[in-house]
Amino acid sequence: MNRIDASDHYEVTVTGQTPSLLTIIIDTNPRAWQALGSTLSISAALANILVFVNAHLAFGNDNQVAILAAHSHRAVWLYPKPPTTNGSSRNSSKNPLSKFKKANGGGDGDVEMTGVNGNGSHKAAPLGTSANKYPQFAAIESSILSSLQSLIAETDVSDIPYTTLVAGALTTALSYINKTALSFAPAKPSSSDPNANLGNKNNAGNGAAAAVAGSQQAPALHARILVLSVSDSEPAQYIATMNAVFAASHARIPIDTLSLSPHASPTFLQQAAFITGGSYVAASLNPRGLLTYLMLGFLPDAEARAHLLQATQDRVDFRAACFCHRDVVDTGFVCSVCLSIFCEVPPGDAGCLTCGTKLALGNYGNKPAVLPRKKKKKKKVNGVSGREETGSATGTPVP
Amino acid sequence: MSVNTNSLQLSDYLEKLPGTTFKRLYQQPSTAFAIFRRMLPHLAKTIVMAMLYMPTPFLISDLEIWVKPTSKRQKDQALATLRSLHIIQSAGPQSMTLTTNFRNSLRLALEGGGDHHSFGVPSTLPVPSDVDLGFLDRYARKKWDDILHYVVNSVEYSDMRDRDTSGGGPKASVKELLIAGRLVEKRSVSTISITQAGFTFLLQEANSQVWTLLLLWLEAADAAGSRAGMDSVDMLSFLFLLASLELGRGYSTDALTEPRRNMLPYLVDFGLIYIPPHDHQQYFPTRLATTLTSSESSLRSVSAGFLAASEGGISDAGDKNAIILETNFRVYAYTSSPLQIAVLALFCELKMRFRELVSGKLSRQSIRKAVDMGITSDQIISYLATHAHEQMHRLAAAQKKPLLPPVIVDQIRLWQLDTERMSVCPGFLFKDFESVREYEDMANFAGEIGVLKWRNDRKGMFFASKVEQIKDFMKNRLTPTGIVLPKSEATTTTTTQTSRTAIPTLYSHANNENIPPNGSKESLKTKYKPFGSLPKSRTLNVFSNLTSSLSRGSLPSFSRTPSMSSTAGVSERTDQRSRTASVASSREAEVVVNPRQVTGAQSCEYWTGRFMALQDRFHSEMLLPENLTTLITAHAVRSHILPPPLAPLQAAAMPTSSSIPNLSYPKARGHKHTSSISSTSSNRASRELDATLLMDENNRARRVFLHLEALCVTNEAKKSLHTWQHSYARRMGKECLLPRGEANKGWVGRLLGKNDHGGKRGHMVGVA
Repeated sequence: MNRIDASDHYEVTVTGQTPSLLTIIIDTNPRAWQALGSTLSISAALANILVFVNAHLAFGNDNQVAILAAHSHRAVWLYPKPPTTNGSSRNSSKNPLSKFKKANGGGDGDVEMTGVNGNGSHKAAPLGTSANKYPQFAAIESSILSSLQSLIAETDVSDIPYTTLVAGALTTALSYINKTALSFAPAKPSSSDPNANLGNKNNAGNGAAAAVAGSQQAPALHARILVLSVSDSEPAQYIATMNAVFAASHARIPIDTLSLSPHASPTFLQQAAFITGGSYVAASLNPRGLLTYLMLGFLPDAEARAHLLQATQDRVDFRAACFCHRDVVDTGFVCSVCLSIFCEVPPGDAGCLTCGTKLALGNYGNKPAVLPRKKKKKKKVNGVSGREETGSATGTPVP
Repeated sequence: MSVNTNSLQLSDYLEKLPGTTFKRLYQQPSTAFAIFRRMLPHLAKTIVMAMLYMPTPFLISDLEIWVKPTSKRQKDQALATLRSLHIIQSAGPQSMTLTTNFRNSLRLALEGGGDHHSFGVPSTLPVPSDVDLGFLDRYARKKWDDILHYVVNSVEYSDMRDRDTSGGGPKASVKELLIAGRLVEKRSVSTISITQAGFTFLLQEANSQVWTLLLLWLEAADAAGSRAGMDSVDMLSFLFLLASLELGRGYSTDALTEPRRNMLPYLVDFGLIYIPPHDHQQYFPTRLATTLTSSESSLRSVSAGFLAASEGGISDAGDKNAIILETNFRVYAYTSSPLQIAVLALFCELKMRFRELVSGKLSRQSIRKAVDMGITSDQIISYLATHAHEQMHRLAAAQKKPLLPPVIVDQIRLWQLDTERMSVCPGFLFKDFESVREYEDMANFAGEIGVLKWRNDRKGMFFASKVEQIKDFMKNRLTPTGIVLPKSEATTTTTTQTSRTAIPTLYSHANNENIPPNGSKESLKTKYKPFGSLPKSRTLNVFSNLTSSLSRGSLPSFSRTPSMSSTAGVSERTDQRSRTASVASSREAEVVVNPRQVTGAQSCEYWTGRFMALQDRFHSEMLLPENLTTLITAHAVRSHILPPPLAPLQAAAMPTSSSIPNLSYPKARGHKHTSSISSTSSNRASRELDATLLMDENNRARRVFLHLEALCVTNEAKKSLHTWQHSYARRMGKECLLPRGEANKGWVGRLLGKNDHGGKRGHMVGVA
């Protein structure tokens, strides 16, 4: 509208940069890291991630960061720490993954991070930092290292599945983003603003959407999620993951994925990146270059991405997991009412397992009847017949 | 448009520093970090981060692939900023790297480690019990408000001055600084009054105010020189260090170097740090210091929340965001801060005052009064915008309207325009380009990096506020010239071309229309210097609101070739040689054998033949692909706009026509000529003009004559040509085709503004 009535020049705004919140989900499945061990150890990866986090924070002093570990059984906050730390540490004295501990040797002090307030440095916590490090960086670093240390200490060696709870971490990240976005949203939306009331009724993911959408002119916070994936997608989490992904897409939060492992292909995360407009990069060929991948591909936030070309996928694995056996299927059956996916016709009377609708399969599975081809009058052009004569779709190759 | 020449900005200050200073600055990680955070546009930060851990130089071509084509402008601006801050340097023809010091320091800042202590050495002593965040904020606020009061009160509350100075006003050193920085000036022994810079200062955000004062201080220290034992580079580093400290922590003074420790008392006076009276072992940075490198918006949004939370915080929460401006010119300010009321009173007629509320009205008189005091409308508008009440933001967002009512914004500007009609900006004028394309490239580039202030396509001139980037651009530019000429004449070497590119003359006094340009001898001298020595500090004032008078055609343009009359005969020869030579270096060998040259007097038939041949060839120029496009474009343009009257166009075209075979100025040095043969003239700015030139019969004939004349090696040949030209012109009835010097040069000369040139020309011919 402004462009039409040429009132652009009336807009007197302070053009500062919008704060951006980077939520990093680190896949900490011990088995997967063990498999990667020869090429990239978790300690090296963590060092790179810390530099990346610092680089993100360096962009402006209101940039925020939140780091989650998607572990084998649960999603754990690494930074900021939840207000009450979980004291139930299971004994794991003979942890075979002792190199994890070595990686954490640098963490020298603990920080009391309170609540969701990302800007912990303002709380004047008595830090034992040196003069050679920016205080905020030091706080984050020690927090991450100590959290990770305790996470690994708590891990039960005997019971480690091959996959990771990415869906849980995504959901946690989304609710955190929503909470932060609300605190950034312009003061109290007046009652005349229809968007605000709409948003509060919805669930966590949509709430963030409303918070962002409420101030559509200039979102108060650019949030994005980066998943560092080392393991396969677990088909059992298909529905949960996809729900989170669609919530993120609705809230316009891009989910970026950096896949490090050559052995795994995080199918669902690939779809997530595609759906939410994030970028998916498979660094499996050269996981050692992690920092360069991060700095070049994943550091630009929404503001910079408006000017930069992002890595795009030429091929997306769009396969879905079926609702009955949680298998990833190429072709399946879809309920025409509730759109549930099944890998085989539900047993019995072919009722949909989700909504119970009786479905008729029509003449699926019948052998196609072979009808004799109708003889056509061929029209000869200059004595040469048309290409129907060959009976194949493609013409005869000509030299 | 806003002109902040009087107020110091950090970016301006940094840009003025030489490269070696940056090298020293970047040795300290906290400085590199702070400059990265505070000074760079967003895209530039992204680029720097991408390059930070890159083992090889970053190819420009890669960058171009990475950045969307639609964002070329932002990319160029980012690169321009990075270059001006000496963060990137080119590493080869088409690649760039970060400068070593910056890269190492920024890496250190991100990774931690090293032994530089540039993020402050925390004190191990116990923190005094009374020092907490609230205390520090109150302390800083009081100190700063004292300074602002001192500036504001100098306006009209002079009766209160005595009380203030005796009371808790700023220290004498600060007052001296304010006076030295001309924020206020001493009228007599006892009275001071505010200056325009002072108003600018008052209306800035707190953060910019702090920087303004600090920079004044740095400059004062610079001026004092080594006598005071202060080194401005080290001081600046220390300020950046302060900015990286943590609020509410004590830092050890013992770890500081001696000069830095000497700075502490001043910083205490400014309210940037607090030193407990009984304990000089540690200092506490206040919010003024720790937010030095924050961006302005963050101060408004995020920390406003913090400030509101911590009671008694630095009162931005209280005195910001309090003004409501209505479309009926009424102003309501929810404030009781005398400071803000005093600032408002500068441009408002305050009518009523209640507890926590002042109301007033913007009127013509009040704005006029402010403008007379030196406040600009832009300052007023931006002050109102930054201090707008939350309610106004909400309303604007809900109705999707601008924050301030457009009526008011326009009216404030109009009221100012009543009194002021021009804005002044120092800069550089570029003119006399080789070709239209060169002009367009450069002008567009200047526009892209955001330094272009004014351009006139027809005259082929533009005016830019900064010259460094353009200089680099000119150096790197390797583009062929504009209009294509027949091959035999168009042979130029790229090397001469680029050396010639540097020529756009600096125009020294644009405002004196009537002074012939050759009055400025320096500019003539510098004209042909190699590019690096382009004089830097030549400023000029463009009156942008007076463009009408500028574009009247009366702006004299420089003759492209400076007169070197004494060596005319000699250079004439070299000139012809160089024209025919295809490569400048080997020209000597080929000179003699050129069959086109005319050595003796020739008959009428001979000249007719040569004339017709040349005319035909020039005529077919029209069919060259490039010229054809020109014609078509021009035709398309003309179909939209009424065709301009031919006469002035032709008039403007005259000097350009002569330059086509540039040999028409036999006075210039040979190798310059080779390059300029293929060029069109400086004044040929628009395609329209090109098209007219291409179509114009007279012009073509004239070119032929010039060409032929240039081919005449001897005087006899020339004389016979002139005779023939005479008869041709008489036969055709075209005065403009008469040999030069014989044409009625009066009106041509006047119209073209080539006063000096016309005169010289006539003289030259006489000699020849």
